[in-house]
Amino acid sequence: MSVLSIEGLRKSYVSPDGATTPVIDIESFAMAAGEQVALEGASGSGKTTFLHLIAGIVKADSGSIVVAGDDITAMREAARDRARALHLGYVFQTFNLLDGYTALENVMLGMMFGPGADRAKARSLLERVGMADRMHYKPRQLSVGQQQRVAVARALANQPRLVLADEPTGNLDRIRAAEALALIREVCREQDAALLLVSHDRAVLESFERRESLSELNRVGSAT
Amino acid sequence: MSALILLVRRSLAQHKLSTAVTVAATALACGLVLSVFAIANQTQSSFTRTDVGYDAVLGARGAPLQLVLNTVYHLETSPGTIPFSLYQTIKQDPRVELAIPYGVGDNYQGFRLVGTSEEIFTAFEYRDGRKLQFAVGGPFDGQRREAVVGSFAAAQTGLKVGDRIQPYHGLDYDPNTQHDEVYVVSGILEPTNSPNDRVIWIPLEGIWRMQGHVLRGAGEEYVAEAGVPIPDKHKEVSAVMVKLRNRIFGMALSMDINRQGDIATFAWPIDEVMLDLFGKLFWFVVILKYVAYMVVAVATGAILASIYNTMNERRREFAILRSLGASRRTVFGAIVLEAATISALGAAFGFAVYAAVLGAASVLIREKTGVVLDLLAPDPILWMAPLGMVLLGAVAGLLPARKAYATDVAANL
Repeated sequence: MSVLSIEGLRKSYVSPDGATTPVIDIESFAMAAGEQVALEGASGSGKTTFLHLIAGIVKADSGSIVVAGDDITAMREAARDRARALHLGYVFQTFNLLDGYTALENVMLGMMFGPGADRAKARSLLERVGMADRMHYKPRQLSVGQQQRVAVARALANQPRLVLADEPTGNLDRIRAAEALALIREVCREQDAALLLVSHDRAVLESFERRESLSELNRVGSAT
Repeated sequence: MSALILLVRRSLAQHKLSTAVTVAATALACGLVLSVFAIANQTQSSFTRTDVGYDAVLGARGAPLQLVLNTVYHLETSPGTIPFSLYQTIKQDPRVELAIPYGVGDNYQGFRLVGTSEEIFTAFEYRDGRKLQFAVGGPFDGQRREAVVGSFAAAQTGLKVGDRIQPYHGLDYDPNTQHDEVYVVSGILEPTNSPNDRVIWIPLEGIWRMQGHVLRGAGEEYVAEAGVPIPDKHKEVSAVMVKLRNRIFGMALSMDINRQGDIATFAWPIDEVMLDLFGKLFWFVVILKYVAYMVVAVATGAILASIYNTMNERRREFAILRSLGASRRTVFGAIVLEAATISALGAAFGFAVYAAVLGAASVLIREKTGVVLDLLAPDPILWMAPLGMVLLGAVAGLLPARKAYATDVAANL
C-alpha cells in the first residue's frame, strides 16, 4: 500500500518581470508504507520545492499528490494544513526549532496542531532520541547535534505516515551525520513511518536501498 | 495547554521589555478612564443626592448655590444671617417637618464649628433612616459649652471626649484669632461618609455668645453678656435646614419666601441647585474624559506598534508554525490574542492605577468637602473600561495579525 503517490506534478514560479519559470515536472513517483527512500538532489535541483509540494506548503499547478490516501492538491489550504499536521513529519536542514521554546515545548507544539498535545508522549520521544536530560533546554542552549535530535522527535510527534527530511545531516560533521542518519532511520522504522530523505551527500545516499535522483525524476532539469 | 496560549505566553516572555512598557501604557490609560469617570460620577452623585437629610435651606438673601454649599457641604463662606424669627416662623409652618438652625463663623484648626440645636442628634437623618450616632460620649448640653466632633475632624485633630478646645474666629484657621471660650468635647460621632464628618457641633447659643460676635437680628448691633439672656429679637442664624413633610410643598414655600422682599432666600430643591453647579462644570468633565480617551488611543497605538515591530523578526517563527500544521487562522488568532492579552494585563493593572488615583483623590476631596469616594462603588465603567480596552487591544492586533496571516511559508523556512 503506498503512502505517497505522485502523478503529473508540475510547478512553476512567476518571476517579478512576469516570466514563468518551470521548477518541477515529475510524471510519477510513489513510496510504499514504511519505505525509506533517499533522493539525490543537488543545489538548485528543486528538491526543497518538491518537499514543500508534498507537504502542501506550496500548491501544485497541476497533477496529484496523494499522501496517506488524501489528494492534497484537491484540498483547500486549511485542509492541507490539517493533513500536514496529522500525516507528515518534516526535518529541516537548519532544524527550524523555535528559539523561545524548550525542547519539550517544541515537540509538544508540533502535536498541538495535530491530534493534541501529549506531554508524556513528547517526553518519551525526547528520551528515545537521547534528550532526556535536556528537555527543558532552549535551542540556543543545545549543541547542533542535540538540536537535530529534538527536530527528529518533533517530526515524529504525531506518528506521521511520512517523514520528509531535507538535508538533515547537512550541518553535521561526518561522525555526527552518521549517528543522526541512523537515529532518523531507526526511529522512523520504530514508528512505522516512511522516510523521504533528500541529500547530496554520497555516503548518506549509499546507505539507502532505494535511491532516486531528482534530476532524473524532474523533467525540468536544472531549476531553483 | 492550547497552542494559542503557549504561543502568546512565549511571545510575551520573549519581548519582555516592550510588553512591560505597553502594559504600563495600557494600565495608565485604563486607570485614567476608570478614575475620571468614577470621580466625576461619584462626586456628582454625592453632591446632587436627594437624601442629604434636608429638602431646602433658608438663608440670607443671595445665591442659592452659595447657601447650599455653605450649609449642606460646609464649603464657601456664609452669605450672611437671617433673624431668628424667620427660623421660628418656618419651624411652625405646618408644611415643615423639621427645621434646624445653623450658626457659623468659627473654626477649630480649620474645622468648622456649627452652632445648632440638639435636634441635630435626635431628629436629623443624614441619610434616609440614619441618624448621627456616637462612637464615644454623647450630645452636648445646650446650656453648657460642650462640643460634639465629627469623625473626620476628630481623626485629624486627635480630639477625644473630655478634651478642651478654644475655637478660632472665622471659617479659616488663623492662630492669632483664638477665642477665650473653652469648650469640652462631649462626644465623637461615628463616620457618616458625608460632609458632616468634618464638623464640630456646638450649641447655637455658643455662637451667639462667642467673644467678639455681634448680633444684628433686630437690625441694630447687640453683644451678648454673660449671664444675661439674649432677647429673641437680637438672635440671628446663618441658615435654617428645612425638611418638608412633602417635597412638593417646597414650590409654594419658595414662592412665598423668594418673592417676599429681600430678607431671605429659600434654596429648594437642594439637589437641583447642585445639579445646576455640575451643569456649569460639565465642560470640564467632558475635557477630562476626552483627555482620557486620547490616552486610550495612544495606548492602543502602542499595542499595535509593539507587536507590529516584531513581525519581521517573527516571520520565520510563523513559517515554522505553519510547516508544523498551524493554519493561517491560527497564527492570525495568536497575534490578536496576544494583543488582547497585553491590553487585558494593562486593564488588570489599570485597577491598581485606579485605586491609587482614587485613593489620592479621595483623601483630597474628603479633606476639602467631606465627601467620601468609594473605590468599589458600583459603576458600569468598572467593567466597560476594561472590556473596551481589551476589545481595542484586539482591534490593534488586527493589522500585525494580517501580516502574520500573509506570511509566505516557503520563503521564510
